[in-house]
Amino acid sequence: MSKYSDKYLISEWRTAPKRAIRDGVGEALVKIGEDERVVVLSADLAGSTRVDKFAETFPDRFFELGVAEQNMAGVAAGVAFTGLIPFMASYAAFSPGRNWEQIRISIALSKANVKIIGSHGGVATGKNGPSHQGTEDIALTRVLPNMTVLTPADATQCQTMIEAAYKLVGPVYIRTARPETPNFTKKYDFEIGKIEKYREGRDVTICASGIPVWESLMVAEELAKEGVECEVLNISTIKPLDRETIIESARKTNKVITIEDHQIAGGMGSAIAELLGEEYPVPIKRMGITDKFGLSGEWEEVYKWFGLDRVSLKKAVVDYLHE
Amino acid sequence: MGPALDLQRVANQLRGDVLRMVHTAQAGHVAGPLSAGEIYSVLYFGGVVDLAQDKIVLSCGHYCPIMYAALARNGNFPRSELKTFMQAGSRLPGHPERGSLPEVEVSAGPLGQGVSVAVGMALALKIQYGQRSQKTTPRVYCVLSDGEIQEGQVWEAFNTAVRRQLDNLIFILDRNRIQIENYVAQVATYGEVAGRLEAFGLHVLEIEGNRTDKIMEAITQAKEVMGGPVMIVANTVGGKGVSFMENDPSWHDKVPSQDELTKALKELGEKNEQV
Repeated sequence: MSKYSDKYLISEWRTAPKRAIRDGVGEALVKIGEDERVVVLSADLAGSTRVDKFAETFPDRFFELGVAEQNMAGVAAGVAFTGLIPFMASYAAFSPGRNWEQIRISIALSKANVKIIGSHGGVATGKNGPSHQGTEDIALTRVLPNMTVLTPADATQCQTMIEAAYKLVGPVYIRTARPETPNFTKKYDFEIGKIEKYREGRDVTICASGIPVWESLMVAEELAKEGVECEVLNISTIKPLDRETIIESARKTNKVITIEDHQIAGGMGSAIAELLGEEYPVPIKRMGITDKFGLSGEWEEVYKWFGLDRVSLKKAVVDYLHE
Repeated sequence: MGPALDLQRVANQLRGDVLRMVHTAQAGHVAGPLSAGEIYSVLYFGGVVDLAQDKIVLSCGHYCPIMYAALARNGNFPRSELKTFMQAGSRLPGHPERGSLPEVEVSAGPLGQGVSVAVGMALALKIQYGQRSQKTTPRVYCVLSDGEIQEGQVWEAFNTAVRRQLDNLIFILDRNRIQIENYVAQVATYGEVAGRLEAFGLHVLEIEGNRTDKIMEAITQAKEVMGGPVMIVANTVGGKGVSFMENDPSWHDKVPSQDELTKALKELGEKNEQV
């Protein structure tokens, strides 16, 4: 039996065609837009967040609010209070970056049924540089009570996540990403709070989220040839964490490494470390952006710079296993 | 006794409740809630607002004692509950939290936020009521303060309200000219507030904000305005109704002593009793 999940991975996942994670946004919104309660708000980034597809299909329920992310968060809350379901879209660096306090009070404290799409997550944003690379958004959102935090690993998962967020009553943050990366997962009914095990292994658990998930699978495949069996978990829901699946895996491997395109302080890796530190302490290594700002450049070059590319990941896993 | 006189009486009753609440809690804000006595009297008791379907949003959240007082007098919850203001577990927290009472529409406190939320509500109500005439679409009334408009978010919200032609949205700016640290004019230079608001495209009505008849008139007029939001600039006096509190920034959030409470209630024509 294959160590790779048939349930979640397409059979040609290794050579999957590329699509940007953010591309999943438009299609999902057009689908759920059949529900007249769905409204989309934009802060002058409809095209690059991919909500423009909704705007074309449902122009009466699309509102371009201009470059004003703080106002957008408040407007979204007000729209939600009347019973509609607003999705608000911008770059993660600005929303929740610039409007965090509006999200905190108008949305989270108020339990507003608002869905926040933060595009251009991580240094994968590339050439526009650190000002436009959302590298703290997961930390900012997961500390907020009432907030659910999601990160899709590919465009297909992004679609199903948006559909799941639409069904959940309450504030949700969904982080997407800019570059074209392998679209390697099968479409299935994404369940918030239930993460996916993509590969079975016994030697080390790799907890990954976003673009690094596919790379982690490739690393696992390479390491298998060297006799190392990695378990690969896609931490697709960062809050609430799937305690059972994560602890069960840690219990089996007794070694956990986390990989994300985000500051290691406060991100997904921190969430895993908090959980395991309290409930099942095992050695943990966190990979990510290590207390630095991002860098302007071609995203794959930037990934190498920060050690998020496959070669660096593989070396990190090997070094960690030999510690 | 005409209706305007009744509303004036109500305004002072609300002020009395504000002072009792703040004194009991030994915390809270005074000057702002007092300046807005007539505004809240008219909004809840003037008959110009359809309380069954319209929304009243308090954006300057520190004014909440006057909102709680109005809701209690309106029968939304027992008046005796006012004494729980700011106590742990109370439905009357120190700044409004949406849902603590069904009528508390927005969480507020960090200034400016409620203005955007009010814009979102008005926008969404217009979507939902679609082709129905402006007269049947629920309206949103949003109370904000003149210190509050130092927040840039407020001006972002005005842009949206004007761009989206939200004629079911009526702002009431309590221009009491004081804020925590000092007089507003000392803290930030505004020039002509009304002129700046007009320049943003708002339909501005400037009135004497401590006169219930003027507020009634302005709201009635505002409801007839088509094509965009109305801004009622209510020129008020901070700490209105209590001589030694009026126009003095130090009363922004000072708790009156027992003596001061007694004197204040007497000036307001209110019984010297706790809530």
